[in-house]
Amino acid sequence: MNLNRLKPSWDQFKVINGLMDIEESEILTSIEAESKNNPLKFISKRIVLNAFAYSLLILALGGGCSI
Amino acid sequence: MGPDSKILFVALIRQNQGIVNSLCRLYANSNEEMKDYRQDVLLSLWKAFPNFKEESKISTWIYRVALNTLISILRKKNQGILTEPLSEAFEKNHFQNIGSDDDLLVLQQAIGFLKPMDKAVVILYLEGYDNREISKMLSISETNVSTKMNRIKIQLKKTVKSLQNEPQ
Repeated sequence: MNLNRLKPSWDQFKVINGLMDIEESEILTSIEAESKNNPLKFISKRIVLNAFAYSLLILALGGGCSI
Repeated sequence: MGPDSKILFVALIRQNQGIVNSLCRLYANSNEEMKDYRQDVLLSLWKAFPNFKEESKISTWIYRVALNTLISILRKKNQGILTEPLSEAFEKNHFQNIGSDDDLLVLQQAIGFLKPMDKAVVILYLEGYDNREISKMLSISETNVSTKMNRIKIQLKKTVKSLQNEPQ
């Protein structure tokens, strides 16, 4: 199948879809929800990672001493 | 990112809303799903916005981020292709067709049957990118792109044939 045949349709498809407005409020809601959630997610991820690293360190040190 | 970034981002999205809407529509099975995908794509674009390098075209950046986001969403959901016969898909209103032009219908319906990655390859090809650029944007090898292109052409030919044979 010659895909080039579909190129004008793809351009037409984009033009038609371009008429459907993405509201400013929708864009802001999408990005602001993440900005609000993000710091919390980041902090809790760091806490879990630090706790895991610390546990590993304790285990390694404890194991090393018993030998 | 400050308020200026937000203003710039909103303007960029609105200038390129045709691309964002078209991509989400081709990957979604309903208008509701399309809106969900659009929200995810907007969020990915916003997260990637600080790394946007102005040496590449804004549309290229949008295609790269949006397509990779949509592929990743569909991988997680383990869907993205229609497997049922076209007549059933029409009855269930899977296709949200726009326009009445024959080729436009073929574009939406035939591409709807492709796997998410294959769909991305076709879209980028239709947009005028060459195999090297497509491979870079989708993080797959150039050989993989040309293999996919050959397979896609065969599959599209079959789908178009069945579209022409099935009553609508």
